[in-house]
Amino acid sequence: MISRVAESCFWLMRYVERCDADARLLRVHSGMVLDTVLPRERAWRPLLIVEGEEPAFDERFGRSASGDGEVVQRYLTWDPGCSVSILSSLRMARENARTVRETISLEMWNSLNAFWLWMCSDVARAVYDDERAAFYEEVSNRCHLFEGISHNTMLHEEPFDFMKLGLNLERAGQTTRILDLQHHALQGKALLPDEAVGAAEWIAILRTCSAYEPFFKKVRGTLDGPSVAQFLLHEAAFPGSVLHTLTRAKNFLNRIRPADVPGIGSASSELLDRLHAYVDALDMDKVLHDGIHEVLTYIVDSIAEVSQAIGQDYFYAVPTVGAPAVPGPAEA
Amino acid sequence: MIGRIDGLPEAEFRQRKELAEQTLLRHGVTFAVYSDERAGVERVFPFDLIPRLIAEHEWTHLDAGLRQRIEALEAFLGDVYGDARCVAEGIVPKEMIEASSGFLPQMKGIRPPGGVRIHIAGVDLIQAPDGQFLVLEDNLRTPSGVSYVLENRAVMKRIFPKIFQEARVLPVVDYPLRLVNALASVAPDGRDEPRVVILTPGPYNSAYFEHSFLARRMGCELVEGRDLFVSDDRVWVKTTRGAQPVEVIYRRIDDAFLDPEAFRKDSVLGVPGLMHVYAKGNVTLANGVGNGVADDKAIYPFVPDLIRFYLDQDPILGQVETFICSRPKECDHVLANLDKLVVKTVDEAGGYGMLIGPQASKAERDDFAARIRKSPRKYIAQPRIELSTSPTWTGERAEPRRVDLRPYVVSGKTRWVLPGGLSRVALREGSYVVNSSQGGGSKDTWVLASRPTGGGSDL
Repeated sequence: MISRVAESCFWLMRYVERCDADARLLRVHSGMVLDTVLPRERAWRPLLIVEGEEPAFDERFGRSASGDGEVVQRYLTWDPGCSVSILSSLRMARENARTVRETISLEMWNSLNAFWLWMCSDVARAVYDDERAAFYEEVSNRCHLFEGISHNTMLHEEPFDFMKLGLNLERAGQTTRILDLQHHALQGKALLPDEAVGAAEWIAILRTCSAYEPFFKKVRGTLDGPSVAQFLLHEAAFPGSVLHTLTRAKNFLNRIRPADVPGIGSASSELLDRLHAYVDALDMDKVLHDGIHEVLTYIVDSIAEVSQAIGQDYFYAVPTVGAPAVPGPAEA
Repeated sequence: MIGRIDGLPEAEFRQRKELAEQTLLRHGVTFAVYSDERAGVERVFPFDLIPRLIAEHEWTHLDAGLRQRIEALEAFLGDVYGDARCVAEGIVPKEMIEASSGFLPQMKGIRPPGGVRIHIAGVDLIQAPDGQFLVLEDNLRTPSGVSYVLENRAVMKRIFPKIFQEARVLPVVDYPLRLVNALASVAPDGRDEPRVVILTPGPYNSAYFEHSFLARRMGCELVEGRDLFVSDDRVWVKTTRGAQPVEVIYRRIDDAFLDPEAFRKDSVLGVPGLMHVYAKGNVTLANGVGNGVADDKAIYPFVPDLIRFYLDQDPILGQVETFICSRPKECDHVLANLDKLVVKTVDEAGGYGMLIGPQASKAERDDFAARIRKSPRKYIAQPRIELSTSPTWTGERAEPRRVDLRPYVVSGKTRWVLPGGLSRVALREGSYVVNSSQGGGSKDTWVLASRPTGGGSDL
C-alpha cells in the first residue's frame, strides 16, 4: 500500500486509542481524588506529568493551577492548544481518517465523523458540565465503537494491520505510563511491597486500564504494588497488558513485513522483537528492587524507537527502482 | 412525482429535509470555500429536496447531442496537437488557438494512449424558456461535482423510499465503475490489469471530498504528488513494499501544476518528470494535458462548425450566441450593448470574473468596458439567456429558482453519458449564479424511464 496512507492508518488508530486512554484516566482520577486525602498539589499534578504536559501547563496557567482539578480536566479534555487533549487527539484522528477515507470503510468514517460532530456540539458540553463521569464514559464508548466497527467492516489486510499495529503500540505505551503514575504520586520512591500506597490508588490504576475486574479474576486476595505491576506488565490474557499488546503488535508487524521482499522492515521487526523479549523476561522481584520507574521509562522509550523504525522502514523509505526486489517494468 | 412530494404535510417535509442535511453532514459530503477566511473550512453543499425531472425522450436527444459534441471536440484536440487541419482549412483562426492559455505547444505531436484526451467531460447546459437545452460551457479539464450527483441520489432514496418505488428513475450508481473501466481501457499498450490511481492536490483542496469519494467507489488508490516519482521513463508509487509502477493517473490537478520540470516550477503538487513519461506514451493522464484549448470560451463559438467539419453532421444541440471581443466588429457591438449582455473572462471558471450587464451598476460596466478595451482577447459576451426555473424549497414554500444542468460524459474505448447529472440551483431569489462557490446549491436530477426499468434498485 501507499506509504503515506499506511502512516495515516497507523496514526489514526493511535489517536483514537489515546482519546480512550485520556478519557479513562480523567474519569477514574476524578473518582479517586474523592476517595483519598492527597494534598491538592499531589492530586492532579501526576496526570500532567504522565501526559508530558507539565511544562506547557505551568507556562500557560502557572504551577499553582495544577492543584485545581477543573483547570487540569478542562485542559486535558478541551484545550486545542494541548496536543494530547481529548479534543486534539480526536481532531487528529479525524484528519488522518479524512486523508484515507478511500481506504477505511464507510462505516468507520461515519462513526468517527459523528464522534467529532458530537464532541463539537453543545450536547457534549452539557454532559461534561452536568455529569462528568458520563461524559468520559461516552468518549470511551465511542472509541470502542470505532475500534469495533473497524474490526468488523474493514478488509483485514495491510491498512488494517497498520491500524492494529498503531493501536497496540499506543496501548502498550499508555498502560506503561499509567503504571508509572503511582510512581510519580510517590515522588520517586521505589515501588516495594510494603509501600504505603492505599488500595484506592491501586484500584484507580486498575480501573484506568479497564483492569479492575480482570485483576480480581486472576489474582486472589492480594492488592499491592507488585501484584498490580505484575498484572499490567505480564498478564498474557489481559488485552491491556504490556506483554499482550506487544505480542499482538509483533503479530501485526509480521503480517505487514513482506516475505517476498527481503530487506524491507528488518530494523523495526528486530527492535520490536527485542522489546517483546525484554518484557517477557522481566523478573518482577528484580524490577522492584532496581526501581520500576527505570524499567517503565525504558519500555516507553523503546516503543518510541520502534515507532521511528516503522516510519523509516515503511513510511519514509527512499524507494529505489530496479533493485531486485521490485518488480521491473517487464514483469509489471 | 412532484404531486407526491407536494402531498407531504409541511411538517413532514421539513423533518425529511432536516434528515437529509444531517445525513450529508454525517457522511462528510462537504466542500471547502476559498473565500472563507479560515482555510479548510468544510461546508455541506446546500441541497434541495425537490428533484428536477427530465423525460426519457428528452434525455435520448440530449444523450445523442452530448456524444456528438464530445466526439467532435476530441477530434479537434487531436487535430490541434496534430496536423492542425482545422487551421489549414480556415475553420478556426490560428491566432485564436495560439492565444488560448489552455493551448500547450509542448503537447504538439504527442499522442496519448488510446488516442483519448477527454476521458471525462462535464458539459454545462441551460434550458431556454422554450424548453430547448443549450450548451453553455464545455468543461474538458477536470470537471467536478459528480460525487454530489451520487450522494444526492443516495440521500433521496433514503428520504423518499416510497416515491422512488413508484417513479422509474434511471440509475446513476454505476458511474464510478464505468469510469474506472473506461480509464483502464486506454492504459498504455500491453499492460494487463493496469494500476489506476487518482491524483489529488490533498485534503485542503475544495473538491477533496469528491477525490476521496471516487477513489473509494472506483476501488483506486488516492495519491498525492509526493507519493509518485519518475524513473526509467515510468511513473512509480511509493508503497510499503517499495516502488510499484503506475499506468493510469486520473489527475485532479490543473495542467500548470502537474510537473514542475515542464510547467510551473514552484508546484509542489505535481510529479517532476511526469510530462516526459507522458510524451513517451508510458502513462495515461485523464484528462489529457492541454485540453483547455478546447473548452476555452473563445473557441466555444466555433464548436458547431467543428462538428460539421470533423463529423460531417449538423449539431444536435444548440448553443448560446456569442460575441468574441478580439474581433473588432463584435467588440464594438459588445461595448455598445454592455447593459444587455453577460461578459465573461475566457480563462476563469466558477462564476468569477464576469459581468451581468443588466444587473450591474454603471460604474461596474464602465470598469469592464475599460478592461475589455485593454485586452479584448480575454473577453466574450453573450445575451442573457433566461434560465429555466425549477421548484425549490425556500424554507417556507416551494418557489421557482433558476437551474442549470451538468451531465457527465465518460470516454475510453467506448463513450457513455450518465443519465441525469448535476442540477445546480441559484438559491437566492432572482439570482443567476449557480456555482457552489458563490452560494449555489444542488438538486437531484431524475431521468424518468418511459418503460419500467425492470424493478432493479440502483443502490
